[in-house]
Amino acid sequence: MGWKSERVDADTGGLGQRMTKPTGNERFVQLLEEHKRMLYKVASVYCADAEDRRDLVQEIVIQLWRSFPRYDDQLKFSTWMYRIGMNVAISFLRSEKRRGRETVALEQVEIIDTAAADRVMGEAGDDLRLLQRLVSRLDEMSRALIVLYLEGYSYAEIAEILGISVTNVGTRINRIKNRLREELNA
Amino acid sequence: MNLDDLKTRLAEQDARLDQVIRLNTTAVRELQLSKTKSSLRWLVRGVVFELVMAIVAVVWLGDFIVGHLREPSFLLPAVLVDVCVIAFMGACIRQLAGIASLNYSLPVVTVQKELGRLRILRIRTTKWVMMLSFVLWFPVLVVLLKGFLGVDLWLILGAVGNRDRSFVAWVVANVLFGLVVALVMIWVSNRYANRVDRSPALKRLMDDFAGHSLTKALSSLDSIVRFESEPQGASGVSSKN
Repeated sequence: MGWKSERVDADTGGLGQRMTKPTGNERFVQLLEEHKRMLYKVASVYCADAEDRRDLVQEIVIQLWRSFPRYDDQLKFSTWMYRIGMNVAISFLRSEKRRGRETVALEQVEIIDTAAADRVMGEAGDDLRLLQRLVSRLDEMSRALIVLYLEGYSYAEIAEILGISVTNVGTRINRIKNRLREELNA
Repeated sequence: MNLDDLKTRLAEQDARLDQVIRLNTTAVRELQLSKTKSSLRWLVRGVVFELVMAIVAVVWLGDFIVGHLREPSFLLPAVLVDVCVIAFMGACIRQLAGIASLNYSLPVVTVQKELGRLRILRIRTTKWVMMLSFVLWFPVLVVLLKGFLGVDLWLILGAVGNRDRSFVAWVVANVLFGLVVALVMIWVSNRYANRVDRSPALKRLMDDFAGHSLTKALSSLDSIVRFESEPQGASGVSSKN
């Protein structure tokens, strides 16, 4: 890849990191390594099936790599990654190809060790498992909203990632929280 | 217990996930170098193929039309088919332009709305192609036989010396027959699409035909638009999954 190397001020605060502008293959791998958990979290929120999760992780990485030359370091890398990850995940969930699996073009490679992560998720307490189940019942957009909220993003950041107003984020999160609270306490 | 109480527990779980998840850097590097295609790339290939076929057809039909300007029984079917192929070409170009302008790093609502519109365009195009194929097969046959083999189908059908009247009669009969077949296909698709398990491609075709795919795509797009607007009584919780 031939885009220019460029440095910006490091900003290590918050969830994402503004860092050296990506300069190529190695930088991409490095950034992916730093945010690998995000790949798994997005995949696990949108796919219950292990094989689907593996395919989705691969789809996300392909799209991240393809979009990487256009990465604008004005945006936190994690924000950029979440936008792409969630866009790919929602499309994947809705795609006819996933349901059909008739012409899956991807080679079967494992980008991250999803089985090990699944074991950690499986060891979660009843409350976290119940939360997972409740989140899986939300529609695709609400799932994105709640995942970002649970990751600690502010309403403004969530609004930036999803493309809705901050008020909308607040209202929707409150409603989902109330609904989940009722179900968690039931 | 509420959602915020679980955040600490989730943070602990995240720390464990960070420890156990290993990134297969070799696989990532191979992906970077390989020509592995995402599903969207395969869709592009399909549309490009359809567009190329349409362009070839339009060029060939143009030549055929010029060569048969004084023969209405060949000119009219060729013009009819040509208009349909040009419309199909337009739909392919719109799909390709939409796919080319997709930027996955834009906000989720923006991208999903665009993807929804593209999905609806694709489904409508497929449905129109299928519907028209029931009506246009005869004009296509007339043109192809004449253009490639020099065979005059009207002569074979016994319409010597009375081609134009025969043409009109055949077109009317064919349109009526095509509509009946299309209605039967819609009925069959509505009734049996959900029972087709072995062939996802056939099921998709039947869903497109029956209108299930379009209804679903319109509903998905509508849900994105509703999500974008301020909620008014929606809970955001569905019974899906």
